[in-house]
Amino acid sequence: MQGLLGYVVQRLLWLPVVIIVVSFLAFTITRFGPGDPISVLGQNYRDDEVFERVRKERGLDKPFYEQYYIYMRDVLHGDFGESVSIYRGVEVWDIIWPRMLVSIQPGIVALVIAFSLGTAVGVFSALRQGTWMDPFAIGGFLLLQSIPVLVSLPFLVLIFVLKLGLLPATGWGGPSVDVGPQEIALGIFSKHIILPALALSLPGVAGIARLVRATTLAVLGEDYVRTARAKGLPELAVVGRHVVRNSLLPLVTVVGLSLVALIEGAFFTETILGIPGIGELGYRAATSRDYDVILALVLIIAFAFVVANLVIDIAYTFIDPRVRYERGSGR
Amino acid sequence: MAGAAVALPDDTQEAGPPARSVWGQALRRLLRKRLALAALVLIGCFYFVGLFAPLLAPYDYRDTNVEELQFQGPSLAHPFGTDRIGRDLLTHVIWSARTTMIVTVATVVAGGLVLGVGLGLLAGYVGGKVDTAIMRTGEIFISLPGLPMLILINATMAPRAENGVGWLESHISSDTLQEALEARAGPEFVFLALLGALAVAGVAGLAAWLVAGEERRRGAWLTPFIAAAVVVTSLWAVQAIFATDGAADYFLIFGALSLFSWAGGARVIRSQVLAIRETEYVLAARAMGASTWRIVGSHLLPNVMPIIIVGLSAGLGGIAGSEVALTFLGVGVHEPTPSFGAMISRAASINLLEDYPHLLLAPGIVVALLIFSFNLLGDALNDVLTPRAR
Repeated sequence: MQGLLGYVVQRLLWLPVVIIVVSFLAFTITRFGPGDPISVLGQNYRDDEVFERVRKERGLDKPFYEQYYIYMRDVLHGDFGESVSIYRGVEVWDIIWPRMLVSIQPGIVALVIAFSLGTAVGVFSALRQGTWMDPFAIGGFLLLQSIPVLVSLPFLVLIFVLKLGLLPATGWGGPSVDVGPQEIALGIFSKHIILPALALSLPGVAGIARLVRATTLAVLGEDYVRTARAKGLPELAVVGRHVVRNSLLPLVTVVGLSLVALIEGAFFTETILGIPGIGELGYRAATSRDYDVILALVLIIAFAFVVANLVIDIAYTFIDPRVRYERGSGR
Repeated sequence: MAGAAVALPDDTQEAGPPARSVWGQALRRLLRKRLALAALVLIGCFYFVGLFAPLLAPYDYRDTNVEELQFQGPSLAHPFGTDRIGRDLLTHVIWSARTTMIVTVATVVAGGLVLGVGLGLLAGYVGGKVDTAIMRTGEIFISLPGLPMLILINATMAPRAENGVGWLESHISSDTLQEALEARAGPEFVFLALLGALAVAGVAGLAAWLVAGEERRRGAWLTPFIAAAVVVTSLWAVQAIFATDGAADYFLIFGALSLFSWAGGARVIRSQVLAIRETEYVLAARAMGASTWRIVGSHLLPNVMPIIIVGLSAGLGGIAGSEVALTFLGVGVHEPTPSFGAMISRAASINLLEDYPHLLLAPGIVVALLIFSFNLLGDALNDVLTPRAR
């Protein structure tokens, strides 16, 4: 366990380095981008004297590194600055966190769909290896994987909303809860969840199915599977108890990749369907030059992503003891 | 690229009776995959259309006709229909193919070949602190969610890129260069003179390379001449790109995409180089006094080449998708430059979708088919070139 402990410590020490580099890069890009926040805040109002005064008040005349230090100090205290154009004067954190609760709902449902469907398809094709059904099942989902969310979703809307009328027209709804700064809707309990969850999950199925297929094929060749068959267990018990349980272990490693796909996909599902989540916020912040909002979003997403990957990597060493990490072995 | 002489270890040549090169075998295996071939043909057509967009497009992509041609369905004159301000959609699809072509090629060259392969070789071959620095930087880029960073970069940097390209354009456009040539003065003339000298050097180097015998053809002294020829050609290409609409957007997109697409490839290449560096034939070459350039050029590069091709082809679909995605979100290529992302974004609003679904059909199907073809080809090349992975 000495090696594992060393690996965990190494990864933990690496975490703040990544966060600092990322925040510094993102901060630099935002601050050196044109059109400083004050002129965006002023909208059509142009008065250099007033602008200069406000800049001084907010510390924007200080040297760059000092601004960065102040920004990071505030961020550590939960203060991400304030919005300058979308919701003028509102604290960025108050805008972002209710929206995160909205974005998480389709994300969780999509994750569940992608992993259960992917596992089913993967095991199915592995058991049917050599027949026409094997390449057919995987190939079909490979086609779905190739269609970007921003292409597939409008088609889904066209079919299910406009032609068949099965689902509510765009938007977000459901029982609402009060979470402090504002009320959010729990779309997870309504039909509104179906379209975004489908669009987010379908591209991921093929990758998961292929991984499960490969590991299942490997497990099918193991001695203990032959033993199980030899002692006369019904096929269902062999597959369910011995094969699937062992072939699912490597899936843990793709959870991180799936998270990225979900976060990136949210930008498109939420923009197209008008779901008030962080993706739609990011889109509007980018088009209306609300720099502190984009900066905060990038920092929060990067942080969540890095931490998630760290947890997954460490968890995997516990789940599968065959994986051993040596100190200083690249990753 | 496929013609590169591959130094085969002796035992492979003895293995099969008719000795074929690695590339010949790979090509044979690829030709057997019908689906991959279809994908390759489709990609070829797409790039052909993109390359010759100005000749193939039936109309000018800036032509509008709100009164007569608004939201027309498919017809003989406009096979894909027209949009809200009466622009021909077929023309827009053709020009969008050009946008996607420029961005994918530029990103593959800058991010995949120059940054990915270059840094991977450097890290693997030099090792030590250089290796650590490159790999740690790559690790940071890999551990970031790409899309939000790309949105941030493109949203904040667009006007700056516009200024930079505008400045360059005003200084190296063919008109100003011609004036400088006539005036025989000014910084532009110096630039032009340097360019001319480089071109002459490049041609001379090429001639020398052709004249030189087989023995000296691999000599390291030729490298600067070949490099000069490459520089001149790429400068010419850059100048041509500057002259097109939306050049600043292209630069920003492929620059940002390159930044986020080199790390994975560099890591794989590095590990492969580390393995090859310790093999006996490299040791033998070094013992015989081969130069670093020779070892890298004739031993490392040919052996890493399959991995490079597999890596680059696997990334193509993602690059094309990212360009469409960024434009869709309004931070990629801007109007009036046509792009699939902008077409889809205009078509995807629910009011238009209900009445005019043809706006979505053409760009949606083309993008889906293109990315599907890229993925199929990437898979096939992976099967064909890295047989151990099967």
